[in-house]
Amino acid sequence: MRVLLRNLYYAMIRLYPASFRSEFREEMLWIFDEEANRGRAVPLLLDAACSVVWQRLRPQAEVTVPNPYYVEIDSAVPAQRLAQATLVVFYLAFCLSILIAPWFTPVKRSVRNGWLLTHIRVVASVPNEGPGKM
Amino acid sequence: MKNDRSATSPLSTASLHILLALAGEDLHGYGIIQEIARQSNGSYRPGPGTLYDNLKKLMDQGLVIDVPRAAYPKDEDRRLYRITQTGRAVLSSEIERLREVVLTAQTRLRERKPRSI
Repeated sequence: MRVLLRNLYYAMIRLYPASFRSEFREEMLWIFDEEANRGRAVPLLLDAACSVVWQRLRPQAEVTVPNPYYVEIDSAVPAQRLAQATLVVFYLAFCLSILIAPWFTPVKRSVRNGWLLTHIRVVASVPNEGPGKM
Repeated sequence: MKNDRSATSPLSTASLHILLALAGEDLHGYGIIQEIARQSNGSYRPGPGTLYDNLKKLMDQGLVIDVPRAAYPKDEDRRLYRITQTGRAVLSSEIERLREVVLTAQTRLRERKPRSI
């Protein structure tokens, strides 16, 4: 039973904010062990529950910003923006390849690799200056 | 804001008792709980959550500090806490405020007359 209560108390300590937990976890567990030896473990669980709620509800605005006009700039390239840039580059390369393909693809045969290709040749009709024109 | 007493007064019950407990000597966390229980004749015994919640607040306000390791007693390996001069001043002003509250309350209770219906 006591081990169970201790594990429960340990789990409740994990609900505290990280800074609070790292600073006071060991001492809280020590006091819990001391109080549990005197049979006062259950009230400490209620105390921890109230304290956790209070710690979580306390506004984080208490952390003062030294100067609001200067903010730290994260110079690392975010993975999301890197992925977006890569996608845009691939899209532009694909569009460019479609545009320049007729100049570089020597399509002469009608069947290539099992695919039937249809050649469409656009011929401009330009009136020539024939002999009938005098 | 650390030395702004208006921001710390009135103190919460736990904070008041913590400062009172530390006013006599440097104590570790469990020592503070035991001292508070002794001062209140066992009627008030804060748990570790309440204790460290208020202790952290007092430390952020500069009213309580960690005792430097060099000043630890030989047989003490637990973290010790010490009240600062600002903490003593805040405690004194809070005690004075409470004294005025008690005086006012006593005066009012003496002056209170039964309502005539």
